[in-house]
Amino acid sequence: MSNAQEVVSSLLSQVASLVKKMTDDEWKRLVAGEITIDLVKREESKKTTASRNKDNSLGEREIKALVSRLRATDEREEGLVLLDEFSLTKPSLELIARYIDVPVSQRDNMETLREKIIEATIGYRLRSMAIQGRTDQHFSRSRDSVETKAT
Amino acid sequence: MPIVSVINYKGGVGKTTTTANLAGELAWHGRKVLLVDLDPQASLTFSFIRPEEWLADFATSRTIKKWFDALSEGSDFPLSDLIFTPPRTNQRLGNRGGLDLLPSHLGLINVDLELATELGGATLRQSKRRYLKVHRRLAEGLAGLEHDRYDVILIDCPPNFNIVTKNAIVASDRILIPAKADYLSTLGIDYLQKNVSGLIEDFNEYAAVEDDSIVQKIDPAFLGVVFTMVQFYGGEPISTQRQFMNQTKTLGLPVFDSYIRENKSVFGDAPLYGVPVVLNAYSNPTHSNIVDELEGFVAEFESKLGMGARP
Repeated sequence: MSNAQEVVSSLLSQVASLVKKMTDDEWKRLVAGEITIDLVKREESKKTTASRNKDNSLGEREIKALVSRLRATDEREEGLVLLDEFSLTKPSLELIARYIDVPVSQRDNMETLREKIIEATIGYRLRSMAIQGRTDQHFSRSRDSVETKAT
Repeated sequence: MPIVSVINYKGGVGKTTTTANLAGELAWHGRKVLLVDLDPQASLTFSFIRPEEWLADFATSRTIKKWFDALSEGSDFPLSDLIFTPPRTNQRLGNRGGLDLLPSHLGLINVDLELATELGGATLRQSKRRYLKVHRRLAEGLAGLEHDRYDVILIDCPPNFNIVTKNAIVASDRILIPAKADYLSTLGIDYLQKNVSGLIEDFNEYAAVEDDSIVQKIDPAFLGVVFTMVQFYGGEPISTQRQFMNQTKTLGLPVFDSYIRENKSVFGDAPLYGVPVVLNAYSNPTHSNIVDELEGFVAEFESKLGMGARP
């Protein structure tokens, strides 16, 4: 995927995510032209920049925070939008994948890495819920439980 | 006498190897173990009985299929009549504990069809009664064994959720899930959770409407997931498998700290000789490491099951 394609894909994902989160009222007002969706370019915060490594890859603290946010997200699309917000380079994606203990191959391109990260933080929970026929979020994320009742 | 079902929806996950070695090590610790093979593939049975012996001495009248068939035909006989003590394993055990087996039959799959015909009824009440009767069949059979004859009963379940499997779950106090750390096997864990929950819900709802309240409600709990066929690199499971192990740990089910590693040269032909790997002494360090790991798994199993001090 070319850089231009990635930028457009990212923009569309962000717009789609925003539309999905709208209330019915907001949606009606958007369709009626009463409100608009604007794209605003923001300067990267100094804090974010400061925690990056020399090669512009993410620092450990930043990775930890990003992974935590991904793990709190319940939709793959939202996760992708979140990854896009960080304008991640391939080395950063590799660092994140390694941080969450996902196997990384030299053949992996950025798209594959993004997919692996999303599956390991969000996708596996969605799979589990779907197979169990659940639509709610009742996952126990504790590793301390000794025994779980089947009911 | 705790009863533990060993099950995974996904086949080929090392379920039979896990069950046979768990039983062997528990018996080595002095415990009396009964293995019930409910899988029509009869792999556990053929781990202790040679197929030609099975055909000559067991197939017609000494398998769990015969017992289910007899019940359906109204000619009841006790499960204890079918119990077989595999000689090669028990010779290895010497004076320690003991390992017995209720053999399976390749035609056990037909029992599911037979049991299904016994369900239903003219009224809702009759249907519920029949449901309870059909699903409690194994539980009642096992309850008929002498109370102190065994310290633990392990049921090797087929990789499905048919009526025979449901009989195993209804009879069980705990459920052990052997799983490969890969995508499809971990999906099998979710299928199983869903179906066990559904079975408990249905069974207990039906049990509640019985006037005489003789039918006890069931509450089998997941003892845990044990990862099998684990491949190691640099002293730890390979990363492709680690990710599925880590994911399973966060989904709410208990997961054993111990693993059972992949080793075809050790596990591949062990059933041929009728003695579980864990009862063999190996001089080769790789092989003895496997035995150490199996021993670690069994110690964890005993602890999770609250089995108390070894005799």
